Amino acid sequence: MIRRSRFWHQIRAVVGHPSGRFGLILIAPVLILAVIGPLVIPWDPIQINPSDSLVGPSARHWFGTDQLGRDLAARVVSAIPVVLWVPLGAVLLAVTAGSAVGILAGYRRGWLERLLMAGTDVLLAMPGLLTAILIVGVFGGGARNMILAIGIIYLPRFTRIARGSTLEVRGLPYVDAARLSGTKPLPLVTRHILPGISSPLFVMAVLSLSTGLLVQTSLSFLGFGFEPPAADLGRMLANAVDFLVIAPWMAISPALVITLLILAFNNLGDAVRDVMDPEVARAAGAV
Amino acid sequence: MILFTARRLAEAIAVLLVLTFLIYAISTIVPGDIAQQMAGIEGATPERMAEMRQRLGLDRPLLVRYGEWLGNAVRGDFGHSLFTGRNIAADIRSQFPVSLEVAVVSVLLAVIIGIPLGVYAAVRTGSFIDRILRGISLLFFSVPTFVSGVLFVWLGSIVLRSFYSSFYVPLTQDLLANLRSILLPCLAIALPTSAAIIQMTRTTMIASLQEPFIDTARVKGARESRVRYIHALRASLGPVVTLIGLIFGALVGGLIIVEQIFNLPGLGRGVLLAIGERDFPFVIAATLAIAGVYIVVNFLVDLLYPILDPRQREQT
Repeated sequence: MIRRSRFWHQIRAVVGHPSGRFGLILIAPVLILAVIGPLVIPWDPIQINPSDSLVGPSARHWFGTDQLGRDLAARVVSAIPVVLWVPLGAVLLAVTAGSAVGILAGYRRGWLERLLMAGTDVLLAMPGLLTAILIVGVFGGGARNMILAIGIIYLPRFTRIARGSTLEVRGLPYVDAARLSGTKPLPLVTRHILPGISSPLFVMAVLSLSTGLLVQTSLSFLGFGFEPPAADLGRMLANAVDFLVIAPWMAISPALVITLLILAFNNLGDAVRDVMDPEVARAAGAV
Repeated sequence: MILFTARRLAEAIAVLLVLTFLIYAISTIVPGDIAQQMAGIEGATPERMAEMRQRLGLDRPLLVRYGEWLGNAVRGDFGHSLFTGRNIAADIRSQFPVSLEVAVVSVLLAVIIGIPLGVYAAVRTGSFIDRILRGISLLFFSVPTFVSGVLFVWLGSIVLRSFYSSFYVPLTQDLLANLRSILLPCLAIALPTSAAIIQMTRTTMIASLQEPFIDTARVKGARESRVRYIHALRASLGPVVTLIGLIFGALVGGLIIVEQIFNLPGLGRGVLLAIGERDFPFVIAATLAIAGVYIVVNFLVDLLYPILDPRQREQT
């Protein structure tokens, strides 16, 4: 009861925060477009229509068409859900696996901790996008592999936070009390340690959404995203480069939607960090 | 200090060993291995495959092969590309300077744009210009490199048509021609990056302007400009330098993207091509080079920190 009211209080604080409100205002039109777009746009996102190729924005084609005559509004709208799902899935994967590894390292200590943290350091030593490109380049693109790739490069930050917080929490009297009264390790972790470390993890998760989206669209841009002909914002923009002079509108709508979403997530992340946990997120280097 | 350096060096070497081993191991388990590719799809009879494997040495244990690769790599021999057949070390030596130049010029541009604007915003906090700068840097901070890259390609092909040249000319050959081919790609990286530097400089500068040592300097009669631009700025640079180090991580990604968009013959495009062709000997060598530089830069940033900010010295 108390926790729920605190949660709502924090949600309201995020909405009330200038950055939070700004983020929501930015993200709203994109979400609305994603929901009602398919209902009001009469075009099929993958239907080729040669007689309509490279048509500029008009009442008929809101965002214009590409070189194959496909309606860009329909394509952008159909690409929005996947561009949101991939970072969300990747962050969920990274939070879950990263926290598990971090808690294990912080709780067990000893050689296991050293081994796990060494693995974390190896991952951290690689530039993120390069790791993601290597993974997707070797195992192929698509939603599942992109989630896997982005999840893996975001794992270390959650491992570090979870381990650090676990080290802090495990020494607190209430955890000692629970252990001495015979609580088994697993319930001890889920019931007593996890609640104590959840808010820094949540903050980092929200902050990771925008960069997750950035990595996903970058992978698509470089040709490692979804298989064509499925619409994919990054690939659409890469495709537009060849037509920049004669059809600049091909670049505008995907570039605008990607930038809007990243800007929105950045602002939401800032608000969540300010409200929930100003210290930890900054210390962990959320850049 | 020496102990710290030695420890970091050992760590870095260990990390690079694990990294190259991982890629080496992965390259042997991926579907459609090298022997199959080299034997050709039709001619891939089991006998031919076995013969090919033997010739390429793929029939020996993984650790033995990795050890052999490592032995050669230490001597600077990374073998030949499976795709182009060229010497990998030579290719990387020719691609590396391109990426390095773009990286250095990009960071320089970002610093030249970012630090003065950040200082200005901090000195005139709350002013009209400060608020405009905050808005712009907030927006630019969220612009992905590939979006700013496309924007600059467009600028280069429409507005700056007479200036931009899409053929890369090495720095050693012709300075102006070189500049014409890399300035726009560098700006594409520098613009989003400078947004982050503006924000960080502003924040740390505001904080250090309120510190007691600023009052001390004023009381001792230092001119206001000296107080601001020497005393306060120097104390603010620590976090900014750390940020620049962190930016370098994102810079590797930016380089890969920008080299691709602008057709620059750098290491980023090289590694991208090699992954596409499943040219793993090249991928491993290029990754080693990139990760190596990345680690060195992060290390240098750690070393620079106490030099720039005297307050950090006693603690290390």
